[in-house]
Order: sequence, then structure tokens, then C-alpha cells
Amino acid sequence: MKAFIENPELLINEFNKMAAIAQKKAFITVGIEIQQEEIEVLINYIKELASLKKEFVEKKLGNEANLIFTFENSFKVLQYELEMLVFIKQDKMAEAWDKLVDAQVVFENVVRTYPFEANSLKGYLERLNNYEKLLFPKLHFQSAGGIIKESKCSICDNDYDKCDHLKGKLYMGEMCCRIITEMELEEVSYVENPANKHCRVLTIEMNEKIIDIMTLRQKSTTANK
Amino acid sequence: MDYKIEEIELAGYIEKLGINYPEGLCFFPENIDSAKDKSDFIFTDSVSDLSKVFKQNNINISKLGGDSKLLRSRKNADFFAPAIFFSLSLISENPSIVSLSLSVLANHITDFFKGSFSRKKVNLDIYVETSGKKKIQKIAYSGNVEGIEKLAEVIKSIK
Repeated sequence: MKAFIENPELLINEFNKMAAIAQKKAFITVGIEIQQEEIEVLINYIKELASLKKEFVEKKLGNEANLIFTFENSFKVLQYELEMLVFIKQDKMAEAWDKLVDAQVVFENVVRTYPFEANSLKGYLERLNNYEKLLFPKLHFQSAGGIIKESKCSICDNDYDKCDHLKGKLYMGEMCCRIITEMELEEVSYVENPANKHCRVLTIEMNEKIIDIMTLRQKSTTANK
Repeated sequence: MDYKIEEIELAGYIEKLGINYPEGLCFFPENIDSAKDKSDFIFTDSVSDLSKVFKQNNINISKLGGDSKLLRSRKNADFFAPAIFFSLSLISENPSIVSLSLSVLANHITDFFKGSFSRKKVNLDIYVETSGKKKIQKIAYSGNVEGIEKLAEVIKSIK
């Protein structure tokens, strides 16, 4: 990794190579043990990237640290995609859904922070979108709304309204977030277009039976729900 | 472009709340017509980001009633923009401020939607002072990002 500090171009080449290998294994037909092995490779590589980012931050190389953020998150997307495929093969459909949503959410961060021509990412965006349409049933979502009373900035820890950092932007390899520390819940509603697709309806009640929406398997009866 | 225009009587609310009548460019709370006191004001949570973005673009904008701690957050994939007020004096002195402000807003929302998988819908209320303190037109817009900049023409037509 030391060579990358001297020449980030090498890092970009390695990123492209590693991503291409992982993408070749992200098909439902590929052996589960090969996909599990690739997940381990990606997890370890993400850890290496985190150490490299620390070095860039120590050297105050903000652009390089931000580039590593984008690479780390790109590999996380691939990791989640592979984990989704593995969970499907293991008949763990709720977990598979959660991994797909994780992949979509992290990919949004990649697109927002990608320093190169973002058109090349369009195909992958469609791929993740198509998984949702082809592999999973139409789901129903919920959305919570409320009044934020206090929040702070993840970068400087000050009141989010008082600092100049902007949510979703990168600062020395870290994405700025608004951390809500006090909120009053106002409502929970059913929505078609949720901000958080993890927040979904899990079961339905039919003929006194509780049915898992994802698998259509009976979870319990209403008598013992 | 999907929008509705209605005339509202703002001076009465402002007087009741005991706050200064807004001048220039100003973010309005969502509950301007029902708040009993300025401390009850609830702004759309995107007001925090847009205050910073406007400042970065050297556009002076304030919040009606000064700082408010209450922000409404909706965990919805649509973008809810804070209501924006344009005073008559500002539009007269600086006619380009409307298109400039809407362009800054549209760019911010375009960034927000980058990489988004969901439908990209924006909800935005604009208050325009048309003839002195008594007459305010409220434009309630709901549509895509591209439509925001076109609202400048709508504002020009009702001014």
C-alpha cells in the first residue's frame, strides 16, 4: 500500500482490477463457496484501504483520502451484492433484501462522491434496481416523520446548524452526516417512496395466519402471534 | 410543471406573532399560519443545508423569526425544500435574484438525487410579495427538479 501514497494512479488501476474480479463472481450461478471467499477478500481489502486512508489523512491529503472513501464504499457495494446472492442461496430472504438495500444506499454515496465521469456508474445503478424488481416481490414501506430538536455534525461535533459542513459531502475521507440527538416522533405512515427501504411491512394476516411477505411461509397463527 | 397559486394574507400572521415583517430573501416556517409564537415555528429540515448552500453562493437569506430549533424531518425519498419568501423590494432592486436563488436550489437538489433509485420529486412553496405588505402570492410546487428554474417565469408573471 505504501506505493499508492507515492502514486495514487496505481491505486486506481488496482481498484479497477479488484472490482472487475468481484463483479465476475456476482452472478447467481457462481458457486456459493467462491462468492463467500470473495466476500472475505473484499472485507480484508476494505480494511487495508481504511489504513491507507488514515495515512493520507495524516499527510493532510484530502483529495486522496476522499478517493479512498469512494473506493471503500464501492467495494462495500460489491460485498453487499455478493452477500445478497449468498443469502438467497441460503434461503434467507429477509437478510438478502437487507443486503440489497445496503448496497443501494452505499452506492448512492459512491455516485455522489465519484470523482470521475459518473455515466459509467449508470449500468450498475440499473443492475441494483433490477435485482429489486426481478428477485423480490412488491413490498410495502413505512416512513417515520418527526421534529428534530437537536442535531450535531459528524465532522466537527458542533450544532449542525452552526457549522459550515454539508451533509453528504466529503471532508478528509469522511462523509458529513447530521446526527440527530433529540427528535419527537410525529407520525408513521405507509409510503410508496420511502427514504429507508429497510422499514418495510414484514408480515400480513390472512385467514388467521401470519404470513411472511417475502417467502409466503406461515410464521404463526393470530392466536399465538 | 405542477403548481398552484393562491393569494394569502400574511401581514395579519406577522402582526399577531409580533415579529418584523420579512425583508429580502427569507425562509418561512411550515406552520406560519398556525404558530402561536415564533418559538413554535417549525422549518423543513432541509433549511439547515440550504442556509449553508446559499451562504456559499453569497446569497443572503435569513429565517423568519431568527433561529429556530424545530425542524420537521420526513423519512421520504421526495425532497422537501423549505418555503422561500421573496420581498417586492428585493425583486425590484435585484431582478436576477429569483432565477439565481432557484438555480442554486435546483443544483443542490440535483446533487441530493444523484444515485437515487427512487422517484425524484420535489415539494416547494414560494411566497412572493406582489404589491406591498398586504398582498402575497403563494406558489405550491410539486414536480421534478427541472421545473424549479422554470418557476422564475411564473414569479415574473404574477409580480
